Amino acid sequence: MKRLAILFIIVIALSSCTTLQAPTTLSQVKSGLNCIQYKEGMIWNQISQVMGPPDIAPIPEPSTDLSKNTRIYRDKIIIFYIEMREVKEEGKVRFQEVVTNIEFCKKK
Amino acid sequence: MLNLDDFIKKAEGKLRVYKDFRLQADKNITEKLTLCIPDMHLLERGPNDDFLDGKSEYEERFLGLLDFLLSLRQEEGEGLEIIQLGDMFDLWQAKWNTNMIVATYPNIIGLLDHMITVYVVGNHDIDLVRWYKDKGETFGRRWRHYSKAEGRLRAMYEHGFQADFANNQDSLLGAIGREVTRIVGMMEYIHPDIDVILGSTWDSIVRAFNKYNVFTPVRDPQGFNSHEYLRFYIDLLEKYNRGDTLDQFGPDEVDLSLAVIGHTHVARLVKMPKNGRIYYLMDCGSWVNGGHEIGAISGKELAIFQWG
Repeated sequence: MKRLAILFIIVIALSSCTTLQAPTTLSQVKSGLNCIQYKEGMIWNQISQVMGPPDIAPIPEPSTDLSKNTRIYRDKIIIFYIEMREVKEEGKVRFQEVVTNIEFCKKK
Repeated sequence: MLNLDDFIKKAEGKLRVYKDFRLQADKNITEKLTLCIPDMHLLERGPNDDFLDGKSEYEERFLGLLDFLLSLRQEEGEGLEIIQLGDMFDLWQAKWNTNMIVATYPNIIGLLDHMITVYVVGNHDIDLVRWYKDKGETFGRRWRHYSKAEGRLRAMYEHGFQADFANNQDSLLGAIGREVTRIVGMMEYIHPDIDVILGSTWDSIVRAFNKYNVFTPVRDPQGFNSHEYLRFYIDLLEKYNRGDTLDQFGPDEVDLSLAVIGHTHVARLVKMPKNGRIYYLMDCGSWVNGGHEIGAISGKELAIFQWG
């Protein structure tokens, strides 16, 4: 019984350790990635040079012209840069996280 | 309306009459300078992109033409009509659809749109009118276009696949033709000019059969045909002139003399008298595999030019 209890504690302890993640910095994550920052109006070629050709290029939607397109990547990494912004809710000061920057990344 | 001599002058040496394809029709065909850009077959570059044909200067050459046409549009305004005769995109061989072709050639597609080009659909880009058939979306493509002079229709513009039994997209043979093209397109990854070689071989076979008049000995006893689609188009123009069509035009509105097409990639300008009238067929050539032709019509003047 005693042995079984020790084994049970070891299993629980080991499985807990595996779920813990070592702290990772943004620069450590980005060291294995090629990233590009999104800005409205940026040239498509800048994106495709970093991300490569898209995985899906759907046909244009009706009621648009052929120059309005969408391009889809699967299994890519997106980095959101987040900041706290002060807002007023019913006259009270509150805070919300907002996105200030987006980077699209591909593994090197 | 700018006449063809002034049009040539404005191009400052970039335009020359292709072979001797210039003639005067017996009546006015247009009231605007009308320029026709034939098959372009734009693709996502790569070895099967016949527009580029492995030579980046071909894109520059075409952009040179478009820059010239844009300046002409600014000078002539409504007095200029630009028609793209279909097969602008090669959707039979594209990896996706128009999407990544637009990414490859944004200047060309942007300039053509900016100049308010009339787009006719070809067999290689017929999907544009099929994708959203139920919703009536054609992305500005039309089956056929007309021009008027003296209040009546005088010229008809269409791609030309309608006259080609092996490429008519409403027939089984046309569907087979599309699959053959796909296979040849894949073979271009092995040998980029395989399409040209096979095309020339096929043309030689057809020419030999035509020469000995195998197909139509009763109808063409003279055994010579200056253009393989001439009879098809004369029949079509006559049908229109009789009012014998499902279109909205009555015989009073129609007096067609000219059909303008692309599709064959071989520029020709031919005329043929029939039933007391003279009919004309202008085949504008192509912008693939080194062909750089445009068709031009101004009043009675008809010509095919080469650019560059």
